Amino acid sequence: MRSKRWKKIFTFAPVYVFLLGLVFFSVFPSLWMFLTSIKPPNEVFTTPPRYWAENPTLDNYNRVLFESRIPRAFLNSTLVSAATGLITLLLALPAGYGFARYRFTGAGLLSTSLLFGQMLPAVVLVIPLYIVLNKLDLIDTHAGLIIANLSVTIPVAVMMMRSYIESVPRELEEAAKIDGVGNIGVLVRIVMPVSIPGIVAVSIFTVIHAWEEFLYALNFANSAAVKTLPITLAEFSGQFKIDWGGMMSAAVVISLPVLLLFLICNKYFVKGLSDGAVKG
Amino acid sequence: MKKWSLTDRIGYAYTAPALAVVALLMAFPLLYTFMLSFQKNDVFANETKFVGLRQFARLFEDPVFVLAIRNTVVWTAACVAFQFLLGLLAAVAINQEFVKGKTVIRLLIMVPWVLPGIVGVQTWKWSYHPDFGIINHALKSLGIISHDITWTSGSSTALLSAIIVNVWKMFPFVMLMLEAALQSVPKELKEAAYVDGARPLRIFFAVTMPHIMMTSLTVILLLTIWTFNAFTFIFALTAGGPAHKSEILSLYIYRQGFQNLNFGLASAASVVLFLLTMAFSLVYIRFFMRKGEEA
Repeated sequence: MRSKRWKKIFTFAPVYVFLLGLVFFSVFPSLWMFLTSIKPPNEVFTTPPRYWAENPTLDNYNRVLFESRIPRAFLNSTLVSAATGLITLLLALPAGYGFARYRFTGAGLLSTSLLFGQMLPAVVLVIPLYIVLNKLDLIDTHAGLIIANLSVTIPVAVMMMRSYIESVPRELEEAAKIDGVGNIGVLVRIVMPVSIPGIVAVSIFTVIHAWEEFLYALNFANSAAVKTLPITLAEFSGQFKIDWGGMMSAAVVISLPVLLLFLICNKYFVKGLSDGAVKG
Repeated sequence: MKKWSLTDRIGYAYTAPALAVVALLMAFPLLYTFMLSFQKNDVFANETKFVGLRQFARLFEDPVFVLAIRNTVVWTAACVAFQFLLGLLAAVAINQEFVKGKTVIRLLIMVPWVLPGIVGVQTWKWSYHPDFGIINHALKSLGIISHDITWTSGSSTALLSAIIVNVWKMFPFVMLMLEAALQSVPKELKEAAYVDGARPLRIFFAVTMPHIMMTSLTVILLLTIWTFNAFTFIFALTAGGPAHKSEILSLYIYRQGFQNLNFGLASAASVVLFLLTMAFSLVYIRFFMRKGEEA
């Protein structure tokens, strides 16, 4: 009896210690970000650093929200992410439906090339996209960023939509067609309502992708009127030295919408991000 | 000309808009990169001329490019190895039946993966700060180091700093994928092996591993492609410095293209990056994943 209990403790303890260590490793940077964001400057810049915020303050947030470029960038990011999400969905829903339900000539080849496209790294396209957007006068515009984002989101979203629709029984569609509902009607009135979970997952994937997209935003946006949050955060600095307190509050502001979305619709969120990564 | 059937026409109608976007934004730019890599263009004189493979020759004569390839390989190998190992250990640990509070543990561990990449990088950069950073302070308090380390600007630590951040960011993804795969391992199999007197480690390699093999191989392929082409981590953390010590191919392309405005050379480097990515993926899928499927 006693030895059994000891054996249990010897197997349980290391697993728990390991998991606790991982939780600490995962969460500590975010905690540190938050703690720094509520410290007054004289507590941010101390040697040795202090763990706790002795006189918590919202000064950093004040500066970020009212005196920095973050609010403007927030607006830009919202616009770019929402538009990327909407356009991606408008294109991916019919395309996913087409691939899922119609065995048309070349469907196999085309979906293979989409898979290939999904594996194509963004870095490889950054130079030609810049030149093309430049010729179209779309550098430093929201439209330019949205278009660039589509090159990443469309292939992934189409494949996600397709595999979701394939998992939905097609009897309803057949019945509607017999009742004389047209092709567009079937898509809008029959397929869309039952595909809501897939649509939510795709939307989360695209919006989150656009929200944190860095490489294209760095090179295709130059002015504060267009720059998105990630770029503005990367360039965040004070007049003489980097304002780390302000930077960390800005980081909290950028993370908050994502963390909220993650907490509220955890299941969809994880599905959106992981399906977007794997299934494609 | 064969006439398109009704199925063909409807199928094309649904898929054409998305496919057109892919053709315009991916296929065309990809071909354009190849074209540019054979051309030398002078942005200021606004003229281009065909130079064949000369830019590729120039690339491989550039010691920084060769160093960037070496850095990319080290960076990718180290990141993927630790991301996968840590993710696998995490998945196995959290999958133990006796573990309580799985949902909360999982949520907390997933935070790095959920946070926007640049937020993670900036927070780590602040923690790495040589004077005010919490990492040096913690290591000194624990007696592990006696002098402050210049993490992101030290020539021997810059790449390591970025590797740690990338491992931190992506191991939760591995955990998530592998945990799902672990749950598909039939309990009876493990119990049968246990009854037969197999030790836990043996059960893991003989029973569990084969079941999560395909997922593992897929995850490793994805991690490799992402890491190989990653940009944000190193750009924001070390900017490739000091003295190109942490410069990887994506940064080399950025520097040549957007700082030196040498689009021809940057395109040639993009082509090299693309070909390396494709070659790796094809060889990997051919030799590992096909075999994995047969097993």
